[in-house]
Amino acid sequence: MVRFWLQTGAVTAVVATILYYVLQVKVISLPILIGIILSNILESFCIRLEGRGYERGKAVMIVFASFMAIAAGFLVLIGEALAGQLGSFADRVPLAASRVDNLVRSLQNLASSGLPFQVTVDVRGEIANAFAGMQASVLPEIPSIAVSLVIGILTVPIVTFFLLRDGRALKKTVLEAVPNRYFEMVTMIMWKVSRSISAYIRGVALEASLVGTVDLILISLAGLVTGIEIENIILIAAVAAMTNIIPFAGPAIGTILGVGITLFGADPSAMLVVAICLVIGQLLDNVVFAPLVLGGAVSVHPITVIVLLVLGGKIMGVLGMLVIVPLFAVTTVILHELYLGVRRHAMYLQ
Amino acid sequence: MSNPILWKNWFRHTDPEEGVYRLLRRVPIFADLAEAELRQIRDVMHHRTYNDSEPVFYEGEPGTGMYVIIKGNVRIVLHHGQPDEVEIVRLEPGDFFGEFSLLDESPRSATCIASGNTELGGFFRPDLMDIVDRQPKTGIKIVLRLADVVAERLRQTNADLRLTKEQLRSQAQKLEEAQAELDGFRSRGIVIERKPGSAG
Repeated sequence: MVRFWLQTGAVTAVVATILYYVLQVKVISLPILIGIILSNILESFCIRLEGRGYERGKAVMIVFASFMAIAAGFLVLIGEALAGQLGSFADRVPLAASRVDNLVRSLQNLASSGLPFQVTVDVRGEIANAFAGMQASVLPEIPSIAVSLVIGILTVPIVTFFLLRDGRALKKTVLEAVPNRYFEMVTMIMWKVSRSISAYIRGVALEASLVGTVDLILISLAGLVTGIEIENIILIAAVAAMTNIIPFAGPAIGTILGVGITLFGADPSAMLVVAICLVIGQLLDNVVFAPLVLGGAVSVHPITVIVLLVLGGKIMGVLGMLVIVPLFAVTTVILHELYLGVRRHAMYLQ
Repeated sequence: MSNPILWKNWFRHTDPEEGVYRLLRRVPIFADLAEAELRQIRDVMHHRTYNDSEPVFYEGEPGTGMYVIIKGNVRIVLHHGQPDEVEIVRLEPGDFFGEFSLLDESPRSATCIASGNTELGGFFRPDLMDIVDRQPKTGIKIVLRLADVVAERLRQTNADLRLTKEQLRSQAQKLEEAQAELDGFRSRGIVIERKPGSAG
């Protein structure tokens, strides 16, 4: 048992250190990372087209063009609605603050009736201060955020396309440089790592998409059935999908954030409906989607998840919290396969 | 003196890869492939060069795939580096070896060492799996041919095993007869002693 904890701690420390330094170079590393992830997801479609007789070059062009068309359509249709919902947030902060304030006052009154002392918290003031603080820290960063976004939007498609088109040639070029003595070992390790990572990335992406879609449908249906006006449905579903990437803590974070978003809506009673829908979506994920899609291929210990979330939040804020756990899982796979491969071949590496 | 230009073979195909393509044609697991498919295999293969006495792989090492000899020779030996080292076979350009490793990572059954400057074309399990994914028809042809090779080796092994069993049975029978004769002598009071200095 002690050995298990020592090993888990050691691996977590090593991988977290590697990720810390890699993620420091956010402007370059993030678009490349997204490009790698996208190319992994799109690779399976290219393989299917090749299986139907298309040449590699044509298969890549078809898949990439289709993906860009779908992404553009998605941005136009959904992006506009999403931007509108995000834009209304700033206007509705006082409304949300007032609702939270009322809720806290109700809880205070309930607590005061049973406690010998009285606890008062100025929620409205705290939220207003927090929002002002956020504005003060975010506003000066907007130009650099905009630059990063533009670089990202330009870099990601380029990286994705060239990885799809030349990924195999790149692998072959790398292998040509490997000395004969290590050649077979490196070939097998690269193949196993690539296969594991691809399966994991595709599984996580599919699972997140399924959760987001199910949540979107459930919340929309719930709104129709109950007659309650639920706003920002797309944003709630998107947040639930993205946070689902984080094991253990992700679904809880997604539910809390989703319920929090309803505070900015027209009808506060939507909170309970949204919470129920998100919990049902999570149940479906745990029982149906995750076992089918992921099959428990890569698992991360809960304590490791917490450490990584803190580290990711420190490096890159909310985005860091989202990407660091999958990055950790992928890095662990790489190190695991490296260790097994070297151990298997070690006695022959003279 | 005749002009060397007149003797030059202007029709000789100078594509160095053409030689690899022709070599691949002779490999049984690629025998059913069409020309285009064979060229794809040639493009996927890894071209490696080895110095004299450089090991390609060691006995007992996890296997990754097969090799085709493009240029030079290789020696297949058992117990390499030990006093009882024995050379099983010496292979030449056009020969292939290690095809069983396309199926799994079972340990190599012998050591392979380059003899002279050698060029090998490597076709490994990741490459085969990649072809099975991208071009299932080509992949199936290769896998079926591989199954044929494995089946043939199995048949040969079974035949050898049968022969060995027959020989062992025959030896055992002779031993039993000799034992029965010895018992017969003993029962009649005849003592059989080993000659001094004889073996066993």
